[in-house]
Amino acid sequence: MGQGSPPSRDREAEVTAVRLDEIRGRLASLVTAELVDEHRRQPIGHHSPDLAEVLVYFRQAPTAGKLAAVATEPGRQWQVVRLSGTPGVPHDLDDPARFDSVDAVSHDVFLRRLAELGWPVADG
Amino acid sequence: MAERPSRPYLVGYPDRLSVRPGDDVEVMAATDRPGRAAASLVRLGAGEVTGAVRETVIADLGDVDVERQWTQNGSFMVVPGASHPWPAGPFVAAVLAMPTRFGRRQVLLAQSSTAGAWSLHLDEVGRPVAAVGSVGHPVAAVDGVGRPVAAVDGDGGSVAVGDDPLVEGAWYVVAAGFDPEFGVSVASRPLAQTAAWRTALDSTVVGSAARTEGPLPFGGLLAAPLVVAAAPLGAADAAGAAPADPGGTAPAEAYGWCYDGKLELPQLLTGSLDADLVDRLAAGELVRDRLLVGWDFAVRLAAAGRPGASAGSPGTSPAGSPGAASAGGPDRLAPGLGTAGCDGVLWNTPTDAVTGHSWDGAEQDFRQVPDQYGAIHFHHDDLDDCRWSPTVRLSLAADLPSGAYAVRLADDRGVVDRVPFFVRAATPAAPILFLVPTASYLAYANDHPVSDGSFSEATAAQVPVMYEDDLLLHEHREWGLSCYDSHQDGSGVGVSTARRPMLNMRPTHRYHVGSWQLPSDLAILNWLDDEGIAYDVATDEDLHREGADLLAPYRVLVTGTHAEYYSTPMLDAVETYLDGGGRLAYLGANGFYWRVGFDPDRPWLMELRRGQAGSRAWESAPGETHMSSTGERGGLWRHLGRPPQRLTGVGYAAQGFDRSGWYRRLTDSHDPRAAFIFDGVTDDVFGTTGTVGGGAVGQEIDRYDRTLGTPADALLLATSQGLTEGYRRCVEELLFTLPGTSALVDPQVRGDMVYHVKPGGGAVFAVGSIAWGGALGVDPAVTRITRNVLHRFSDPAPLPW
Repeated sequence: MGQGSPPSRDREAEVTAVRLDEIRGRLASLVTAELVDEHRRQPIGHHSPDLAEVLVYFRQAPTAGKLAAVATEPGRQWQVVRLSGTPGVPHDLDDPARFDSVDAVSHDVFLRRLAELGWPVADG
Repeated sequence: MAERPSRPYLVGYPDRLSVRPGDDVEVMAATDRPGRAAASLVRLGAGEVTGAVRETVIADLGDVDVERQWTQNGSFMVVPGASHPWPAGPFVAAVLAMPTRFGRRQVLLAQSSTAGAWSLHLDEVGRPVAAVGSVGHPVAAVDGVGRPVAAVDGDGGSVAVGDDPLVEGAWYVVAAGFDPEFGVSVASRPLAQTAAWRTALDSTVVGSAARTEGPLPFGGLLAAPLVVAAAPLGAADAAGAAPADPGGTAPAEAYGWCYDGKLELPQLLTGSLDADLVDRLAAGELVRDRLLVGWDFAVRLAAAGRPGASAGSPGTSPAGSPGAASAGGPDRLAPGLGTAGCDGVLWNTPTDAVTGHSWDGAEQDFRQVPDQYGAIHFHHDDLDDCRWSPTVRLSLAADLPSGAYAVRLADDRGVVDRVPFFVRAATPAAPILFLVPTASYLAYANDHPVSDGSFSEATAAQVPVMYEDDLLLHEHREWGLSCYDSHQDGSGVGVSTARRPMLNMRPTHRYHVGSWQLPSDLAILNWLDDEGIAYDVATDEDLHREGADLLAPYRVLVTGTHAEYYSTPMLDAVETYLDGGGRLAYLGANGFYWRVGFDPDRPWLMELRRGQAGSRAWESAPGETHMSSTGERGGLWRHLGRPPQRLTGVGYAAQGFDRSGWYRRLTDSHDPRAAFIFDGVTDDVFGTTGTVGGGAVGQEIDRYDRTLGTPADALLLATSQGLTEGYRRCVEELLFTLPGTSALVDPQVRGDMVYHVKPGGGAVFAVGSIAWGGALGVDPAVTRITRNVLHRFSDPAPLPW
């Protein structure tokens, strides 16, 4: 290529954004108050097909910025952590909320993920 | 640069995982706050997530001093023999390089002495740089709009910066000329691409050259060690070179600016860097008529005595291989060519038996075309030994019973570590041998499943829970990676060392999906203790070294919950044992799955090449499936012709981690030959309780499969029920991306209980579930069945068949 040709670049970001718009648009239509309530009642275990699909999307998110749980008092108390995604860079542990079960912290993560996407979060 | 970690820690490792009564043991420990710690020897039991551990103090070892300890990370090559006087005059440093990750300054070749320093390195964006001055000092100069410029720094040094960054994943010749009279120059040029290059280059990549004028502060090659793929620390500017918290002060010999990528044919030449020389280097030539010293890693691969690596004499180890007499064994040396005494010492076990610039994809086995495997892949996050100073030395009593033990360390902050090791029997006496699956512990050692693994939540089917150990491991990368991690350049971690603290090999550790490995295996040992069932322990390392002789004295072999990684000698030993009448109680699942190798000279190092199939955290690069340590092809045992179903009757079928299921008895469970197993068990459904997922069938599960080698006369006693959509079929069985791979719709997603007696009288009882051990002492039927099997297997009377 001669002078003035565009620099080499990776087109992955553009195509991923287009695909995520399509995927999120469809999944958002599945989120109802009933679905959120189903998750609240049983965050871990068997789920309806719609909830299972929404969860599959959330669970496969890239690591940087992803939410997880930390046992602040193992077996007794948990909090939400935001992962740094970079080896050696501490995760963000500043969130003050504490939960008394894995189910509770898992449901809180679910609600935050819905809220961050601007999806309905009515928690039945 | 990361914030400085501040989490308190006290961590240690033993000099070896397997010991005998009467042995001396050393424990190396480190802390973030130097001081005293109370030490004791304990017999180890399982721990609770809350921190409570079932343990018995055997000996009070008093207070010990625990210090911060430096860990040298990164693999590189040091040539101490370059310290002799060299002829004065201009010289060229050159190497073939395939960089894999930019973002930091990375040194390719460097020398540093009191007379001065030079380096050939890549800057933060991957531009080649030739620099003179103090090694830490020369900085790639950039003008106001980001264009590289040649510059002379304030220290009297010279810097020449190539115009164009290299492209990650492509091969180049990179060379620097150092002329005492006229200055420094640097050149790079992409090599001729073969059909099998990882990264295709477009026509805009043509290489670059730059030079700066002015005399150098020294007259030629320095009388100092040469370093390849790193540079000595201790120069003016060490910032950014070392891990965020290496722990303690760097020793006199310490290295930084480590390189990520492959190198081939490093060489030092007389004369100037000119276009003709670049042509010859770009052709992959060792320039013998100008050679001061060079290193052909393909020669090293052959000289290291690997099976078949020696040209024309497969299976033999060449006599007098260059490093055979040196400390650490031949694998640590790369013979220097051109000048005697210039062998390179390889630190932290970089990956060799990897494809070089000329690999054309036609051959996958490095032993067949060693010339195409002349590269070594260096990683800035490699580690083969923490090399810490001993903190505790103890002598074990000559009558110490076999079992799991630990040195317990506790400081006045309440920070506690238990450093486990396993004591063999002085003389085998018990009918049962519990084989501690240390190869599998090594594979998972210091795993970062949540911090790094974007797949963890999906495979777990739940929000992952992290613990203090996970946070420490995330921040202290200097303690090394697991074979479930990838290096930061994206290549899989194929070497794991036992000479480092393994924070997930602790009784209180919990994986993000619950109890896993050591704590689960300790739960089985606890139960054996509670039942009064006598047993000895040994480790995978013992089995690898001693083979079937280790097993011969025992009537029953009991696996841990997840004995996944097996070397060829280990698998041979178990087969020989069973063929000779031995009996196996396989109280776990997904065992005998991956082939691994152990370094013949350094048994604390395990090697893994995953290949391109199986339930894998990463896969081998094309052409890099054969293990450096043994020459064997890596991968799943089922793909190497030895599926676990043939050995045990069951093999890996599926995994899931949300809720465990239970067993339903099948017709064969009423066969008279299996009556002893179900003696006292009346229910058709059992295993409905347990500490792992609330049932006895869970985590990873194994299946009866005649097509994969389950013996025709094997009894299929029971199968799983109640598993969720979180349980999915293993990927090696998905030939297309079919829908419907969960337990809800796929009948092959199940855990099976199988029993069979082999022609020589050997027998296998397999439960097909990792969660089984968590139901011992909890679920009455699981407890009864295990007791029945171990009792009958311990009885030498032949098993009716």
